[in-house]
Amino acid sequence: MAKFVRLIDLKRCMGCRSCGAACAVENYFTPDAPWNSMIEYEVGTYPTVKKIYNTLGCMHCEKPSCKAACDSVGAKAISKNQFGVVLIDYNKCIGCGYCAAVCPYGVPHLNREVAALYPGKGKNGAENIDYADRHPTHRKKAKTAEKCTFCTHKLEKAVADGKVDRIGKDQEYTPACDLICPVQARLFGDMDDPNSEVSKRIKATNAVQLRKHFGNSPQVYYVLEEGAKS
Amino acid sequence: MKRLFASLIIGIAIVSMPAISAPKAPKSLAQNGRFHQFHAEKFAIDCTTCHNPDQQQVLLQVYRPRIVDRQICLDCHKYWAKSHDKPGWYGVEPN
Repeated sequence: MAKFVRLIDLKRCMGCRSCGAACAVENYFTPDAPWNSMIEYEVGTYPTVKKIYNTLGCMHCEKPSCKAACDSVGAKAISKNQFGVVLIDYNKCIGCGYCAAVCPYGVPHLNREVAALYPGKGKNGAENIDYADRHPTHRKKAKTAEKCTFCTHKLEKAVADGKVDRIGKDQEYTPACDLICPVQARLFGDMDDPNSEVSKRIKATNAVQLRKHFGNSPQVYYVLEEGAKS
Repeated sequence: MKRLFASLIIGIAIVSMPAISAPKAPKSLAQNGRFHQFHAEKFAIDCTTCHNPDQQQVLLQVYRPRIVDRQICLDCHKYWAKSHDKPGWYGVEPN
């Protein structure tokens, strides 16, 4: 069974936010609940200072605290599928906000209202697709929690097409943020395949998981810039 | 009479406007918030389990609890809660 992971190289990232823009277009962005955020901070002391750009989406933890919290309130809206993707079922979500409160990475957001990508300028691109025809993760609802899905609609398409081996390689089977990066700072692929590009690069770069002391075993790895927070 | 009626309508509109337009309070761990009530009232956890007194305020004989450090939440839900059959949210294997 494949286990999909993401590698983000902060040494390459230049903070252009293309990943966030691609995610917004692909996944019906709503202002209350961005799925892909950019955190910026400075390290060092003058005159040797530099800026760190840390792009942050769902870590799809192997031991997700959001799921544990959701289960403890009885909603059971959060699940982890066969590929390790953590998903929120909007129809089961009760909007309690527990997932957002306990996530060590501050990832899930409560969506107060469903807004268009360009408010006041009508529907844009995929927003013209009927609600019922959209993937369940794109049938957004007010007062529910949302977060990155690893573009699970693309992963499901790969499974349906029998092209699981093309995930992370072909445009139609790879998450939008990983495709768009102009400096190849992002990689997506199967960690269980020792020959995959992503597993090779994780090993070669000594990439790390953020906030490991929470014990959640996230499935997103980072190549950290010197001085960057882990 | 018409003027009086119009003034009354405008007056009601002005008075009720803040209540209509005010944004809903964000969910927080504030004292009157839901999370605080769960911990303090339902589970009856003593204040000092999570809060440290603000030393400066104690000198002035006014106890004022400090904001809870996230690490306290983490330690409790990772170790103590699990050992006491309470929800442990970190490092938990999914069902």
